[in-house]
Amino acid sequence: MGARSRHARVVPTIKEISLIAELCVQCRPTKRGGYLVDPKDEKSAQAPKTGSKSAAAPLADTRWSSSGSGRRLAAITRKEFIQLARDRRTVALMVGMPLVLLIIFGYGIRLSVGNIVAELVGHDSPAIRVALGEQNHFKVLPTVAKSESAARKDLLDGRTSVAVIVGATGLPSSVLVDGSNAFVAQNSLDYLRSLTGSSAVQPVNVQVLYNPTLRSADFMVPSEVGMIMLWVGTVATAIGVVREREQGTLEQLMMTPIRKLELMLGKILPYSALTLVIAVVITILGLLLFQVPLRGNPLELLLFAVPYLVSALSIGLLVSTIAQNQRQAMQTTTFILLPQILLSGALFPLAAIPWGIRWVSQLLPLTYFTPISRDIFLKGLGFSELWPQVAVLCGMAVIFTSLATIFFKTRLD
Amino acid sequence: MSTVVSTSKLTKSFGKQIAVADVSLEVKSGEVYGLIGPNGAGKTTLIRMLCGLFSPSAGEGTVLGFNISLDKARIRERVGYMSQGFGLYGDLTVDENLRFYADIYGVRDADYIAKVRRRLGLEEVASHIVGGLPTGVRQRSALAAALVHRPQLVVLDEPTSGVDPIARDAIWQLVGELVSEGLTALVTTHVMPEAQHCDRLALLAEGSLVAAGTPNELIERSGLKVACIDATPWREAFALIQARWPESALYGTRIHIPVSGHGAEEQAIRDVLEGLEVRSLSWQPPSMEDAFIALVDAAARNQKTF
Repeated sequence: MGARSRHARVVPTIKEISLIAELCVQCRPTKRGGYLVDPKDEKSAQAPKTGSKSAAAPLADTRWSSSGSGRRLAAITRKEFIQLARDRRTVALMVGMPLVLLIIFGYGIRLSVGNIVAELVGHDSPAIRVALGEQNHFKVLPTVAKSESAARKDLLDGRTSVAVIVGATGLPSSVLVDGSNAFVAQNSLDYLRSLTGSSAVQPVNVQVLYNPTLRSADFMVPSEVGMIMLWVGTVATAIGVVREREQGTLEQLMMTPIRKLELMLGKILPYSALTLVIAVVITILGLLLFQVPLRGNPLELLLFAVPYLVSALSIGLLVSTIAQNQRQAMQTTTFILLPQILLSGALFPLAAIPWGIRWVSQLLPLTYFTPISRDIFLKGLGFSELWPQVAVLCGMAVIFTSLATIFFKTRLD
Repeated sequence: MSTVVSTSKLTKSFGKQIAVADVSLEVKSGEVYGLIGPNGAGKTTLIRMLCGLFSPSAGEGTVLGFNISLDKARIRERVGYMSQGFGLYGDLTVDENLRFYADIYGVRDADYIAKVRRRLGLEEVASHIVGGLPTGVRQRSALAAALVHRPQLVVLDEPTSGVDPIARDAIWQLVGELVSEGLTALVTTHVMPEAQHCDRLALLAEGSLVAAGTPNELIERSGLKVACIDATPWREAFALIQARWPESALYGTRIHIPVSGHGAEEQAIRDVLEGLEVRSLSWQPPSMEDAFIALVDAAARNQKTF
């Protein structure tokens, strides 16, 4: 299609002139389309040629005027907003889910685990009880397991997560940790190490920077902003286009003078606005509810979010070229977003991702937006430090948009 | 009468599959032109080429004087199209839909939009959500949306599919009225009896043009006549007839046999019914459906002889 229309645009010049001439003569062949003309209008309809030509003017050359393009773009944008306002379910999904996520991530998910159930084995030791109970890291069972095998049974049953075997001297001889929940186990080991360190070795002075209390919310909210923009942007765009295909309105639209690029932009603009608004709301709520610090420039954050957002929306458009209906669109988006959230470093550190699939992370926009968001929030960095990530995002925006445009154009034919 | 649509050996293939083959037809201004054929006959593909959505694989055509391969955009600006699937947004009101399409076509004339709305009897439902309207009103709204930019040609793809019979007649009547006021309409349908609403028709089967002309011409050209027999006892009569003419059908207690060349056939019928009382035997023109089948068969036979 692209090639042919280019061909069509190269050939005309002379042809066009003759066509315009033809148009003047032929466009209103015998009588001017007389339907829907009131008797009182009849006179103007039979006016001389110049008059009838001006009557045809409104649609004569809308295609070439930029204002026609602007009008069509505005028409689609307006329509999308009306539809969005009426589609309560989608709005609820778009706005509600980020809120729920914010609350889950802010309140619910803790990166540090407290009150890990521990048990002493063999002998009781008040000193160890006190040490373990400090800062509520561990909750020590009042009973003492008789033997190591009894302690192992408790670990197996899940009644305890840690068993500290205490020798007759009252000193711990060894520790058993339930490794089936790696997260709890890792925390237990960290706590235990700090305990043994304090007694046996000269304490190392550890200072935590930027997030001194290691609050989960400070870590989660900035990365959540990125995840939510990705989710809302991709889903909304994909569904917006697929719905038209599903309802048959896309076919109708393709028979109008609208250009594919106008349709694409008309779909992207409202959803970008929506996504940005939601991102801003989430940020403000994060600041208010969880006192997450925003040490950098919020405007810079907003600005750097734009190439990221464009990438997300283009992914949504790409999904829309594959999916036939809204359900498929949802499933495809989930399929694309889940690995993205897991592999981007937004939830788990990039360093924890093995080299074999690290290259996948390098291809994901979220991988670059997460450090931007986190560093602006927590470290107060700006463009001078974050430009490499911003540059990559801009490049991705260009690539994804081009891909989406190409696929969008060919798929609509 | 000037020509609004004209095609010459228009062909469209998708890979190896040929959807439209060598179709040549002409639509004159001020007529209702029907494209009739079963589903999969290539009607929609043909229409999409005429409206500038597909480029033809071979052959050429003009719509409103514009070349369908080179001037797609100009054609799209000037043709009103009503898609087979319902083309309006179900979650917008009638007015919002009309305004949307008016904006898309660059129409600023609010008076004209109001006029279209009035003419199509949509004033009372203007602020109703389209999705909740009865199908007949919805089709009228879709037609209104296809008319907001004063097209000289409207292309209606299966406007009556999924519409109840009363609304169906209303749509045809409305189209007929608009055409008598100066519009030209190109309409597809797979419902044969609807052919009667068209001034002229093109019969399509498997992508090829089988025949074109006025409904009466086509019926005549099929060479068919229907023998209408009232015989008693009718059950036995029908059993006998059906054994000889499997295409015969029962209408009430009357037997209809579509046959070609009724001179010799009349005697044959009387011979078959020998012993039964034949109260009457008259001849009628065939239904469009019978004529269509006969014309398709004839075309197939012709092709074999080549």
